[in-house]
Amino acid sequence: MTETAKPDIQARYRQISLVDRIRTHPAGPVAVVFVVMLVLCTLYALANPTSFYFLTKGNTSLVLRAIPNFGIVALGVGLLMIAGEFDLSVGSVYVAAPFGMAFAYANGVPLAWAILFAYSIAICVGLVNAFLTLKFNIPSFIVTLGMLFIVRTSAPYLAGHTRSLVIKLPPDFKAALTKNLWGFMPAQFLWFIGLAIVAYLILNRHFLGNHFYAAGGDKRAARFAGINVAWTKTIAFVLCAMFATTSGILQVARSSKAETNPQLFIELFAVAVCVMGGLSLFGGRGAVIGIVLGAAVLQLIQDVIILARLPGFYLDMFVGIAIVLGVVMNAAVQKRY
Amino acid sequence: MSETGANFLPGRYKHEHDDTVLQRLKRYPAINIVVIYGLFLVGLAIWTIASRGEFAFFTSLNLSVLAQQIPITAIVAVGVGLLMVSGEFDISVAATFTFAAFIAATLLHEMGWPLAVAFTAGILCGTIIGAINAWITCWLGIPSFIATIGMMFFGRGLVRWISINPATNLPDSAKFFPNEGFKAALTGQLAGPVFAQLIWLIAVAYAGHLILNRHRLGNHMFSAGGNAEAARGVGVRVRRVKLLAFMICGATAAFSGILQATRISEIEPSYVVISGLELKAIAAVVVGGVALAGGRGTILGMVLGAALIDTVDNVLVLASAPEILFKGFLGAIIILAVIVNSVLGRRQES
Amino acid sequence: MISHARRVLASSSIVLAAFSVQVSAQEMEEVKVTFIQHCCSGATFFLPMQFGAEEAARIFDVDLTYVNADGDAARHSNLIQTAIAEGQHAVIPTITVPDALDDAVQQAVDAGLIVIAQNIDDPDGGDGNARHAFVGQDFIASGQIIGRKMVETHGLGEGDHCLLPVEFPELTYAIERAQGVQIALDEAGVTSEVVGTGTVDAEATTIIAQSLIANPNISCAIGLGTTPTTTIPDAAAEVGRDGLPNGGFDTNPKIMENILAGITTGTMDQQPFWQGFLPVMFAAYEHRYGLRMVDFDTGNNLIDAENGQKALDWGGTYR
Repeated sequence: MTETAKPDIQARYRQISLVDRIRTHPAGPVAVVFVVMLVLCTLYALANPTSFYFLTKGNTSLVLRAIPNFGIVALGVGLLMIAGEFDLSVGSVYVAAPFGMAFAYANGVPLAWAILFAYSIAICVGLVNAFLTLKFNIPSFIVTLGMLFIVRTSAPYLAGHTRSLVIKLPPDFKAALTKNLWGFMPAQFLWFIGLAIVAYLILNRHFLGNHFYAAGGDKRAARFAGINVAWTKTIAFVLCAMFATTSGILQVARSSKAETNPQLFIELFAVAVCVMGGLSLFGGRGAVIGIVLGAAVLQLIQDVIILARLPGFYLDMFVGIAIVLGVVMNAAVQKRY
Repeated sequence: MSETGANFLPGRYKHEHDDTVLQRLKRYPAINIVVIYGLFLVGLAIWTIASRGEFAFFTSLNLSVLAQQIPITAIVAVGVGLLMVSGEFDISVAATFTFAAFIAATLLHEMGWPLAVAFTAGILCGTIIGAINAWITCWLGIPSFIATIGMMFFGRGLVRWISINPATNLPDSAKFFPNEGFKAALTGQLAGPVFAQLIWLIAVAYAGHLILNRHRLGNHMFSAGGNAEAARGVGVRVRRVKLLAFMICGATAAFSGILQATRISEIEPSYVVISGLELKAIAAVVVGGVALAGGRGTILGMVLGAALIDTVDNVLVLASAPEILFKGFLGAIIILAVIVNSVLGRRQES
Repeated sequence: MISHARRVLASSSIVLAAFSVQVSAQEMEEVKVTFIQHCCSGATFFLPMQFGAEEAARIFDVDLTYVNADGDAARHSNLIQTAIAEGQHAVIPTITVPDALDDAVQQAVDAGLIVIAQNIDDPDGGDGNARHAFVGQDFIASGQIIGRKMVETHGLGEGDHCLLPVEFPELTYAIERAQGVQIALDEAGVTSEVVGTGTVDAEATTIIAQSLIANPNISCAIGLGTTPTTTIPDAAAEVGRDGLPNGGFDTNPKIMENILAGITTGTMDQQPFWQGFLPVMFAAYEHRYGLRMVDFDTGNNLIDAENGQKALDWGGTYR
């Protein structure tokens, strides 16, 4: 790059308008969808305050409480997806690791150790996923599909006849995780934002993030650049399982109970949230804000369908349409610009 | 495609003829799964002998159970496999499977349409669902994995809607009683453990083989799945190839659904939710040596992959394995088979 | 929970010891039985059923094969045929749909197997299916019982609207329970709506809570399955509808605590333990001594605050 070219580029960079930046940002389309939906819902709610209870404190708090559930799982899945791998086993880790915590806690293990136990389960699953995927060079989709089944069945097998536990967490701990602040801001949402910021820092302010993008984008180029792809991906696998565990623990705290019942389709929802948020299914592209907004849009849609009293029976149908529409919009915007 | 071209160079051609049978076998693309399944059957035979006939795997009745079950999975797997070779996924097959059977049953019994029309309409429904998937994937340009997840949820709603029993306003299972001739043709017992489903599986597999290996479409599928850009470069109409693959996948899933409905005379709406057929089919196909990213695979591999998964399940039942661990064993088998595939595959290359 | 497990272990080993004396005296022939749970591997509802089947197998010296049909009627029929192929003496299926299993059951009866249905029967009972006997509960009847209990306890009537959340509205149990509950609600002039929640607890809580916000007229909620019954009180509390009359089906520790605390009115317990224990016992006795089996209604056991303590104490094993 010559000396003369530099100011030129800087000048051009400055000229890029806000609109262009939204267009080119991976999370641009989902942000637009989110804002449009929010505005429409608000207007509709203001026009029909007695039949569409969108703007009530109760609903706000509820939606904010619901977003983190898939959202936190999706944060982990998203980080891993940027690094170029899949994780379907999150659906089982979400159940098994928090159950491990509850089981240990119910049997008198101090809470801190119980939590540590949950995360060590997550780390183990993440390491096994990474080992099998990277050592044998087989698709993570298949490895984690297998692990989804293995973890799903081994948790109830090991739990024996205690597959459902009521767990009375210390009030301070429960409040820190789930307290409803000012009537509309559940602590879960603050944790979600906090974790999103952590994910953002990892991805954008730490060398690890660069490595994720590089490993997911072009493996060979990453290797030439001196990046240890295997190590990078292993960290991503482990982080992914830990995020799923965090979401599970928040849920256990919310409902004061832990079960090994399989909780179906979380893994597919998490992937859908990520892709709606503008992440590339094939790695190397995406932003944390997109995942947050993707999770928000999915919950908003569900909220609107139920609040508008469309038949709750067909909820799945609308969710399916919404996922496709959201991703189609992403693709359309990206293709055009 | 230059790789395939090299095969026709005279030297290479001659070289192939000079190979021993063993070497030629080694190069056969589905050899891994053939060996795995073969060794598995040998193991079962030894087990049977060692248990002095206590182990009932090779009884006629048990084999007839497999002869009725494997085609259901394997026919779906052939469709999913052809699609995967073309570089795309279909997560919505369980929905297609159930919806098509419901359409056939509803048209036959509630609308009073002729059986042939109801049957064709069912298959057509599957094909249309496949075409919609293709449209969303190839024309709107979003990954098929996501497009078909959307279709899975949508199809679940469709099944709920079509299965509503007006008397109770709730979903209900539907009866499917086609005439005896139809039932015999689709699911009749021919001799011992040989059922008509097996013949249909062979027919579908052979058709798949012809498409994949003896027809231009197959070449196009391989190239579209292997490297879409390069395929476009040599004049393959990638979108049209994928459209056809999606439609074949929908049609096979629909056919399998109607086959199953004919066998048990009934369809349950719950099948969409809890069968896990979509992931099972993908697992079968990948176990059978089809590359997840497309561009590589054989019909024999897809069929044997499905057969292996159903056979392992059957053996777990015979061995009284703990109920809760069944799916876990299945997960382990999937991972193991793919590891073996991958390790053997690498050795062949080197 | 550990102490429970020990108690269970201790009690069952005493029973085992008592029976093993007789067993050795008579040198019983071992009876081979296949027990088919019709769906939902890992779901807590089926724990007592499996526990019951295993306990009966221990006591009566039965070689038990416990398998799961994964909610697929074709697989269910495969499992029945596999049992015939294995030379089992008895098979214990669930007649989840009226016609799908007719052929397989007939085949088993023809092959000389004892066939006892559990949990769900053919709508036409013994006339609709060749099974010898049925041990289980009538979903529609139990729906009516909990429906009436809710109406009586909370004085529901014209103008009241009841939310009926269920995991998957298309599953047999959901359909029949909804029918039963609706019969009872119709009698009192109460209207109702079904909403699907899925099995993810967090999602179910959210969906139920959203439904409560969307329709402030909802004045009661009856969960048709474990997940919604467990999560209704949480959902109601989260949107400030504490004290919403609620009840449901099935038991787990959380539901039992809610009932004992007076938050949940009651739950229908179909006593899955009996549905596991009795068919295995019947099969063993029919095979050894030719005793004829009987249809057995495991009862519609309504659990409320008065009789709930034991269900909590023995959750996961006998309850």
